[in-house]
Amino acid sequence: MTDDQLWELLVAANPLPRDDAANLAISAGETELLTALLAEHSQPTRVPRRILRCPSRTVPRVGLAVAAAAIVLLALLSLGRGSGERDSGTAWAAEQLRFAEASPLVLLSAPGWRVEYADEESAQEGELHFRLRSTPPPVRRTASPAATAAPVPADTGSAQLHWRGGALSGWTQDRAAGAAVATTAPVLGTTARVYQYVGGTPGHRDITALFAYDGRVLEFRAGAANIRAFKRLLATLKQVDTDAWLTAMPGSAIRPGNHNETIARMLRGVAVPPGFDPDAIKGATLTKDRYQLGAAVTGAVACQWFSRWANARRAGDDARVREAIAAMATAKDWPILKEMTKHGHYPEVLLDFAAAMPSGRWHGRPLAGDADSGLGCHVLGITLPGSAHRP
Amino acid sequence: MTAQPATARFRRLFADTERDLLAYVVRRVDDVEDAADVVADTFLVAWRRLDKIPPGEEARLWLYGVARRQLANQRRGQQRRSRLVSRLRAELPAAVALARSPEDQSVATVRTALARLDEEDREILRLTSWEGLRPAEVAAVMGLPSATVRSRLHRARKRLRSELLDLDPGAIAPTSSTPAAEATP
Repeated sequence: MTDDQLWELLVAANPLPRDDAANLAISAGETELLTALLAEHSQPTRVPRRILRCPSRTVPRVGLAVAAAAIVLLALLSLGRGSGERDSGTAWAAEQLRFAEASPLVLLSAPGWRVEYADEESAQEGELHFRLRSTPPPVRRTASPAATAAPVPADTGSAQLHWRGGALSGWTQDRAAGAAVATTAPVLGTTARVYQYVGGTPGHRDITALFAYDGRVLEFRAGAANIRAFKRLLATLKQVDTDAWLTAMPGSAIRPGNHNETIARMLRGVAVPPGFDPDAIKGATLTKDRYQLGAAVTGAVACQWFSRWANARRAGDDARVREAIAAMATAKDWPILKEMTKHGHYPEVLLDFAAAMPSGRWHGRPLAGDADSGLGCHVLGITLPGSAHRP
Repeated sequence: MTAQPATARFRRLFADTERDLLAYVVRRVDDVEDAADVVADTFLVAWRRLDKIPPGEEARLWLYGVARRQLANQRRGQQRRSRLVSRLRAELPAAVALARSPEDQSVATVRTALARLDEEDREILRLTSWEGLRPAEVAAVMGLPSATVRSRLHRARKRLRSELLDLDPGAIAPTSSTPAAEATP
């Protein structure tokens, strides 16, 4: 046996040759990992839990883009109106009432805290993000335990409440696996399991509480000075009525009755593909946040262009390929994307994919699969040829 | 390094290297899903030490070096399941199973022979033949002088040939003296 033959035997014994590795259908998991890593860095205390799921659960519904949106919402959102600007006693639309009543109708009652973001992922799942009104997002507060009348000392001045279906035990096991400290605390007439995650710094800990409530699993998570401060904040979660809950919603939440009008305005200046039907944007009626709705609308437009582009490439239809590339090249000027740039990375992701259309490659890999994962095309009901995902 | 360039650099690093790094790890773990944890922890280190990562192609070698240490932790049972990769961990086994070709007898023999080598010899052979690294690059990953890698590569081949001879004498013919990898340092 020559050295070359020995070499060939060694190469043949490679359990996963590079070409095979390049074709592994794992882009959704990789996207989740990248998103979580970015969040780990930019928001080390909070965001990774946003996409952390029980084993049976799926990736965020609009993939990287929405996850990126969630990341940035926490850090960057400076949303318009607060609760005080909406009159209590409003005759709420049926859709608004349905949205409210699908939630656990729970709010933070601690002074100074307001809802800055609300979204509903399905009839069973949703989330609220709270921010301490006096705490600008980039500035960290220090704890002041003696000031009982002052806002609850929470280092980051932000907190999240998630509600989900499923069993409490699956979530507690998951959270316990990454916890440095585990304890319990009273909340809403029940007992929550409280976990302080590994890491953080003295005076700035990442703490979460899980409890069963109203037939669902609720998770309340906040950056807090310590467990004691977290428990004080947790104890201020209160049940409210529908009117109070809707009144507390931020101005950025899209009023359901305005969805069609809002979508039409978002599409101004956007190059839509032939036959584009705004009414068919999947998930748009669930979306209550303007940024999320913008992601669904521009994602649907972009995914349809990507689909036309990919089909045309396969068919050798150069004119259609050029048409799609030219249309997506205008994305940098779409007003809604410019607006969204202030609040998150979704436009950056979309423009990255658009820029890759002429080559058809995205960082060395076929564009279709990554564009699908990144924009959540399959979740929006749009098939991209060459992607492993199916709607 | 400001946040935006750091984020952009990390995204590029991830896009350019993650799949190769994942394959590197998959080739070395017993349970494929464990590769997801090793990769996640490797990139967590990369994120935290982004300023320390050399530019260009050397970044890949730097990541292999980190992954090598994470693999050692994993083998010692010191690696926890990462909370960042639930989806990837679920996807990997089926995806890798689909990608793998049926193992023929010669492949099985070579893998058995490799398993009989000491860890350093085995890793040098794998890095050169599976990752396609040159001896100088293997040296960077393993933290050894290039000259040492060259001599150990030669020794590792001799030992592998000996093991193959022991396992399947009929498969081994007389040797030549020109190691292929050393011809392209």
